[in-house]
Amino acid sequence: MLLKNHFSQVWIKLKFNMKKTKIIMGMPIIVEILGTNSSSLFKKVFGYFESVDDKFSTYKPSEVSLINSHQLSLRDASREMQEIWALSEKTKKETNGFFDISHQGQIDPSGIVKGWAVLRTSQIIKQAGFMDYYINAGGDIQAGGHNGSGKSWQIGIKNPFKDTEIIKILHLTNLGVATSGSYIRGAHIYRPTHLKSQFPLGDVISLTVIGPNVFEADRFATAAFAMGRAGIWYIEKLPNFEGYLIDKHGLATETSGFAKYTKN
Amino acid sequence: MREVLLTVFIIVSFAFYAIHQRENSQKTAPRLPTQSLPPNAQQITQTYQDGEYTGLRIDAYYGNVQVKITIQNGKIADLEFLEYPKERRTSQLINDEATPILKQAAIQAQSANVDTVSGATQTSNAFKKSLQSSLDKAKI
Repeated sequence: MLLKNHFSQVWIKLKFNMKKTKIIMGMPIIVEILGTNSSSLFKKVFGYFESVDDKFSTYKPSEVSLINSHQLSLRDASREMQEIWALSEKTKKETNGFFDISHQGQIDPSGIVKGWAVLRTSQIIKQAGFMDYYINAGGDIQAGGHNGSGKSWQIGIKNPFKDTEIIKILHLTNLGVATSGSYIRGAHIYRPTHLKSQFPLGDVISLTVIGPNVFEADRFATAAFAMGRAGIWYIEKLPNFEGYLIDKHGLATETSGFAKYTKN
Repeated sequence: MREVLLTVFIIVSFAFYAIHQRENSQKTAPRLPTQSLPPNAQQITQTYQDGEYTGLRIDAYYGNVQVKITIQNGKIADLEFLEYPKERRTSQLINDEATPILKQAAIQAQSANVDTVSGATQTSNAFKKSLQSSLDKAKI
């Protein structure tokens, strides 16, 4: 009976396995959910990302823009804006100022909003009753349950020097992963002025962080990337987090527990 | 309390390491030669007015990208990143005696199928957007 039940579940998953991609916030957002073909759920998921973009974009007429142009005070801002502010302040403390959304009187919560939005989306999917899914927003991924073959989700780390190449395969179940990096030397992560000279960015190209969920992985990847080479040691010392750093010579450094995610 | 002490210890060890490693850092702004611009951007530069144009500061989701272009004789003569990571030329590796040495290996292509991929590629999109907005300003 149990076996029969199991087979029918697998059959349902195979039959209804939906994957959709949409460009929101200037990046591809990929959502795959097993066991459903409900387009209304996908609509809800992508609609959520769109509402986050409308609220937190730094270059659209968003709530963040209103705050930055002093037309809105944080006190009068929405509940979500205040939540992001509180989470940012918390992260700032936890990372000794390496994570900071305030710069020259302006706020830019981009380094925390993406992972937060992906985690919120995963809660929407779970509340709808689906436990096997992943959400990938521009490389920030929440992997829930298992893939269509009943295995952990297989997540590739992209070669920063070659867009089409995978250099590492992670096997993740109910975990989050995020990559922070400066691929064309254009990315700018705000670094605390008083610590900049002590923590040179050095030759670090990208830092991938695996954490208990995508929100945690994202905020610590952002903060640790800002620490330069020292960032991989920060992740090493952080309980329940693992990291993979790539430098400009194509040399990778991994934390001591990272290998458990690269084996089946 | 133990966590606080541990955190302080980590920060202090980083600080010691950093002071130990401290060298002169190079802070020259990266400049791209015009050859590396997208081909379609080159073809349409003839219609641009000479001058300097600053592109929009574009959210790359891990920070911002902003470029400034200089148009000379209707063509892009220079492109500068106004926001970019500070770089320091050193390939020195962390080798702290107090902590175990982390595993290092050259990256290698993998040939297995994956469900999805992680990597920070949004930056180049932000670059394109900032460049486009600076070109829009330069249009006659």
